[in-house]
Formats: sequence, structure tokens, C-alpha cells
Amino acid sequence: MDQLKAILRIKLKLAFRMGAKNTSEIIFRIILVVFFAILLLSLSTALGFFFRNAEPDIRGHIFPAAHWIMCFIWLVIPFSPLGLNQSLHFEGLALLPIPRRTFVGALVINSLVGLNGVFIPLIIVLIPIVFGRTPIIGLAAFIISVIFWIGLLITGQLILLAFGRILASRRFADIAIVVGAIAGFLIYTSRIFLYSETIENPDLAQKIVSLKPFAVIFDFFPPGLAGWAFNSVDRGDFTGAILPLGLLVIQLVLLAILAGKLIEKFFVGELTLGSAVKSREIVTKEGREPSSGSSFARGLLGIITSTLGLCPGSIAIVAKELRYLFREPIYKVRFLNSVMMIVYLIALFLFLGRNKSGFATFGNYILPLFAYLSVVGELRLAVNKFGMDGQAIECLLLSPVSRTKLMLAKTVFGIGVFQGINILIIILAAVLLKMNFALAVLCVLAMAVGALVVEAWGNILSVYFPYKMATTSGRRGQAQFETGGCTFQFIYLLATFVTNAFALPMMALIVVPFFFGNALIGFILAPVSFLLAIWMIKYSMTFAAQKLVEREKKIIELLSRQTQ
Amino acid sequence: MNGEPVVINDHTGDALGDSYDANGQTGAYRLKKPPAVVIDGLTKRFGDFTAVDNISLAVPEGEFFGFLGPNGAGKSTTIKVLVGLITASYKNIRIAGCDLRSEPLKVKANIGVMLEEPHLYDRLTSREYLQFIGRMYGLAPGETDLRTEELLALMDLEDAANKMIIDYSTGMRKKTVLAAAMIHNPKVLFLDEPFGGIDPIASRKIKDVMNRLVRHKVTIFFSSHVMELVEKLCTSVAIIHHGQIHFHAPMSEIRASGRTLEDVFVEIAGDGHMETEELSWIN
Repeated sequence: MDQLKAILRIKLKLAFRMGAKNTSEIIFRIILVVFFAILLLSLSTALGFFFRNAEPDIRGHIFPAAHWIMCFIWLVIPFSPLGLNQSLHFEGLALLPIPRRTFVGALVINSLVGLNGVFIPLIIVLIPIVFGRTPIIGLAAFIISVIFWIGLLITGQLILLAFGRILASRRFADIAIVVGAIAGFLIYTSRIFLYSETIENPDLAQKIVSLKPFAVIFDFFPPGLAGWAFNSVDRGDFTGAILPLGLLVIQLVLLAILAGKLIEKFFVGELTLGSAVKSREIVTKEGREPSSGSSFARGLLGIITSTLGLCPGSIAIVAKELRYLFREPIYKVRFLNSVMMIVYLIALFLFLGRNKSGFATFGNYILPLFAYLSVVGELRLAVNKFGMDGQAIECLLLSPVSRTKLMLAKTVFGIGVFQGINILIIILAAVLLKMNFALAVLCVLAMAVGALVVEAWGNILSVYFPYKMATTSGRRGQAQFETGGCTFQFIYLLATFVTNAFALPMMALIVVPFFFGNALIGFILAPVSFLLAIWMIKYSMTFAAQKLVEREKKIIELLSRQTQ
Repeated sequence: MNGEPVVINDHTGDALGDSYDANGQTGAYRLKKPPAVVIDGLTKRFGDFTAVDNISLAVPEGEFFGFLGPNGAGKSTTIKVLVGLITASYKNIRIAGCDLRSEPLKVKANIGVMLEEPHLYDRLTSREYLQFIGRMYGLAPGETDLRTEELLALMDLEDAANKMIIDYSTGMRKKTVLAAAMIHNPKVLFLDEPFGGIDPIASRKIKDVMNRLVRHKVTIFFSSHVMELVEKLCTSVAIIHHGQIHFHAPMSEIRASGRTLEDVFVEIAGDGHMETEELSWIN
């Protein structure tokens, strides 16, 4: 019992801290949890009043739907890098001379204490408030929900035990971050597609929803069974609830047996939670120099370096950045964010273009809009050029490469890769959306000018306000996002305004004449904008290099700060 | 300064001239060779805490110099200042004949650095990392590749050379950093706890290479807690305690006195508390 008390005490401390850096942060989180609890309680009471007079069909749909959502959230938590569920160090516990039942107790504590400990009882209490039309139905809803939650808790721990090795691996997290970003994009794009299709074909959505085989399968999963049991009780058919409830209990018992077996395996050391996934080897093709990267990377690098005549140090930096872009998931996602935003918008207009409501309204205006958004989209990376170096900035600044060449390498990478890809996407958008050719060319010119302006401001801001964008020091030693805190968000906002103030008029100078019927003026004004932008980038590089020499120790200090 | 003997003051903080006398705790230590590292009046404060307190030191060229001290004495801070990673106040710091304040890039071109907690580009493979560092020091691609392969072989990293550094053990990371510190053949090597986590085979090889480097007039500024290692490798040592240099002498002097380095270290850094505290539950 004393051992369990000690485990509970440590778990409580871990749960309260949850990565918080100081007491005020912990207090803030507690206030936040209490606020949400009160909010949920109020909403539930309101919903309860609404459901009391609603048709049983509505309640019957909402109950399983709510349980499906809770189920989804709960089972996704172990896969998230937040560490809400698994803060106890089980390997460490297994080293201690604790009996098996204490170990099981530790697992139960682990699943109940934390955010779970606040929200599970709350949700279980809210269920009868929302769905309890009468006290008996409320009691039934409560019992069904308790059984359902016991099942979820066991499943959550089962996932941790069974997939701990995979969950703990860096590669899993790396892949999950990118897959998550792409999945989000696909979900939104398919929603647009469905929306645009259903405008023309209203029956489509109904057909998708009523795919019977899927509906039947869903009924036999715990949320479906809980919904089935509740529906029966809600209609006054108490005996009808016995079958789904029985099936739910059987599933729960099977899960408990499986969990017991896994706990046993873990306890005797046959199962571990540590990462065991073999690390990926960077394969080099036979007969090729080991220094060469992917053919795409080499090709791109070759074009950039030969065009600009970069020094070996600058080339090494550009090559390193390129490799990092391919391998560092945070970098990839930060970059993909802006690219996908534009692709998403293109998809939106491409699909909406099929009916009369969307595309026709915007016409040719959307291409300059895309051009502007994609240029500004890279701002977060442009204004924090050392952000992805993080603590490894030491390596960069210990080198004797001239700081001007260092800034040049970073700028070349920003313009050549980030903005280069954006320009390709805009060209693609112009082709797909059948835009006016002259406008497309003007937009590309405007983007090139905008890119130079963004990078020019980016150089200066990068030297003054660097922050680490990714860490690998998290719970699993995996890549994690860093936000830079309020200061950087403020700086970023300011940078956006300043960049807009400079980039927007210079881009507009090229594009706007087209909309007044004279594209030629845009072409004539383009060199003026270009000259100004080139002067800005040259000045910014020299200025930033000087400031980098003065501030490099400060930059190292800022980027080397340990984060929780 | 080059070519002239230099006498250093080991803890008084006097300005270092071309030649000067000092009578520190351990007596004056006359340098026979031109100095590779000269520190004059270095002080580093973190808020109210003085990590390094007005130290002065000179290390001759081709010396295997051991920089010792208990935890928190100021060793790593001193090294970080010398390699230009953190700011500090000082009268003069010269590394390999270059002034740290006015010629920081020249200093960087002449030094190799391995910090106790190295930060690397861990999404690169060790091969890519070494090639990156080689190119940053201006080596030609062919030369960089040649040195990279030789260093990978030396460090027994060939099998893992195509894996990302993020997947390396602590020892492998240290080997990678050590290889990177040597790739450009620096005049001065700053090594902070270089052998921690490195296996005995690689450790032996590295020691051999270091001795070879010293024979070729490379200066090694070496910090470690392993007294036996320092005693075996170093030609001179200094002990820093509470941010001040309390001892600086050639190893031959210590050996001649009949004491071990550990005796000297414990005497200085132990603050007179030599006895081990009792544990009440161990009879």
C-alpha cells in the first residue's frame, strides 16, 4: 500500500507539472481545466434541457456519436507527443522490488491520474445530465458510460503496452507529424470536393452516410454498443439493452485479459516500452560518392550553386539546409504549411469552379492573391533563419566562414528553395485554373520581387530575434515544435506588417496595371521593383552579417537554451 | 611573441607581456616554446555568480595541457570563452597567435573544438556531418572526403556512417564531434571531457592520434576528471577552483615531487575536507 501511495504521489506531481516550466504555468493550467469543466457543465445542462423534449431518434444518434468522439480522442492521446497518458516511467518501476499487483495498480493510477482524472469523472457525471430524461434513464446512461470508460481506459493502456516500442520511436513521431499534416490537408480537400459535388448532386452525401455495411460494423464497437444499449433504455425496452450491454462487458473482459497478459509480459521483461525500431540508413547508390544526396537535392543544389558562384562554406550550408528540409519533420511541416495552404486554395477554386457560385466571382483576382499569400507564407521561416539550426548553431558559428557568406547561403536557400517551389505552384495554379498568360507572368515576377523583400527583412530579423523552432529533447527524444513564446509571436506579427508595407506595394506595382487593362505597364515597372528589391536584399545581407558578428554569442545563448 | 620564452603568472591576473615573472602558489613556469594559448585577466560572471575570476594562463605550442577542476569550477566556461562561444571580460586572449577580440574568424580557423555536451546537426549522418564541417573550413571536396573516410575509420564509425546522428549513442556522438574537431588539422584542439562514453578501443586509438598531433606541434587544451588519463597524457596541468587558477605546473614537476596528480588535485580542490562523510546506516 505504501508503494502505491508513493507511486500515486509521484504521478500526481508529474500530472500537475505536465511539462510546465514554473508554478504560475501550473496554476494557469489548473484554472484552464476548471474553466473548461464549468463550461462543459453549463453546456451539458443546456443540452439536457434541449434533449428532454427532443425526439428519441435525436438522442439515439447523439449518444453513440458523443461516445465515438470520446473514444477517438482517448485512443489518439497515446499517439500524440503530449505525454498526457504516460508520465510514469514503467521501466524504472519494473526495476524496483514491487509485487505484480502493485505494478497493475501503477498502471491503473497512470490511466486515471492526470487530465484523465479530471475529465473522466466529469464526463461520466455529465452523461446523465445531458441524456437523463428521467432518473431511471439517467442512471442507465451513467452505468453504460461507466462500463464504456472502463473499456477505454484498459484499451488506452493496452495501446501503450502493445505499441510502446513503436510509439517511443523517433521515426514513428517523424512520420506521424508529416502524415498528420497531409491527412489534415486531404480531409479538408475532400470536404471541399464533397461540398462542390453535393451542390450539383444533393443525393451524394446521403448515399455516403448510409453505407449499410459500415453502419453495421460500427454498431458492434464499444461506442456503437453503448449507443444501442442507451437507445433501448430510452425507448423503455430495458430487456433490449441486455444484449448490447452483455457484448460490451464481454469485450471489456477480453480486453482486461489481454491487458493482464501484456502486463505479465512487461513485468517479466519480455516486453519493453523503449524504442527498438531500427534507424533508417541513408542509402547511397553504388559507385556514387557518399557525399551525394538524393538526385533531386543534388540537381537543385547544383543549379543554385553554379548560378550564384557560392563559396565551399556557403554550398555546405545550402546542402545542409536541403538535407534538413527532407529529414527534419518540423522543418518539413513548417514549410508544407504554407505550400499546402496554397494547394488547398487552388483545390478549393478548382472544385468550386465547377459550379457557378465560387470561381466566377473571383475571376482573375485569385492568382495575385495566391502569389501574395505564398510569398508571405514563408515569413515564419524567413524571419527565423537560424531557428532550424537550434542548438547546433554552435557548429555553424564555430566555423571560420565569413558571416556575409553565411547569410548569403541562408538567403539563397530561402529564395531558391522555398520561394522557388512557391513560384512553381503558382505556375501550376495558373495552368490548372486557365488564367490569363500575361497575368501569370506578372504574378511570377511579382513573387520574385516579394521573395527578395521577405528574405531581406528575414535576414535582419533573424539576427535580432532568433528562436529554436524544433527540439529533440522531448519525452521520446523526438522532434517537437517550439513556438518561441509570446515575444516571437509579437515579432512575427510586426514582421508581417513591415513586410506587407514593403512587399505589397512593390508587388502591386507589377500586377495592378493588368486589372486596369494595361499589362504592359506592369512589365515596364517590374525592373524598377526588381532593382529596389535587389538593393534591399544586398543591404540586408551586409547589415545582417555585421550584426551577426556582434550578436553571435547572444544568438548561441538564445538558441541553446534548454527547453522542457 | 612567437619564438620568445614566456613566463606566465598562474593566478594573479597580471597582464601577459613578452616576458614577465610571477611568484604564484606553484612558482613561475617558464615556457620554452611560443605560446599557443594566452589568457590574460579573464573574468566571466553569470548574474551575481563569478564562474571565472580574473584568470591568466599561457599554454605553449605543442603542449598536451590538462585543465582540471572540480564540478562547477569554471573549466567548461573558460573553454567556451576561448573558442568564442560566450562573451566575457578579459584584457587579452590570443589563440594560435590570433587575437580573439579582433580576429575571431582567424581564431576559429585555427582551432578544433569538442565540448562536453556537443550539439550537432543530428539529422545528418556522421559522414555528411564531417563533410559539412570540412567544407566549412574551406577544404577541397576531394580532401574533405579523404579525411572524412580516414576519421570514420579511426573512430570506428564506418558501419554507422550512413545513419543519422540522432540515432547514435553518446559515445558515437562524441566520436563524431572529435572527428569533426580534427578534420581541418587545427593548431589548437580544445577538448572538454572527450573520452566520456567512448569505448576503450576507440579511446586507445584517439589517444595515439592525440600524441601524434602533439608531436606535430598541435596544442591540446584538455579538460577531464579522469586523473589517471591526464597524468598519462598531459605534459602540463592547471587546476581551476572557484573560478581561479590555483595550480599550474609541468607534469614532470609533479612526478618529481613523488606525489600523484590526484593527491595534488584533492589537496587543492578538496578545500581541506579530505575525510569521507559517514553514512549512518552503513556500519
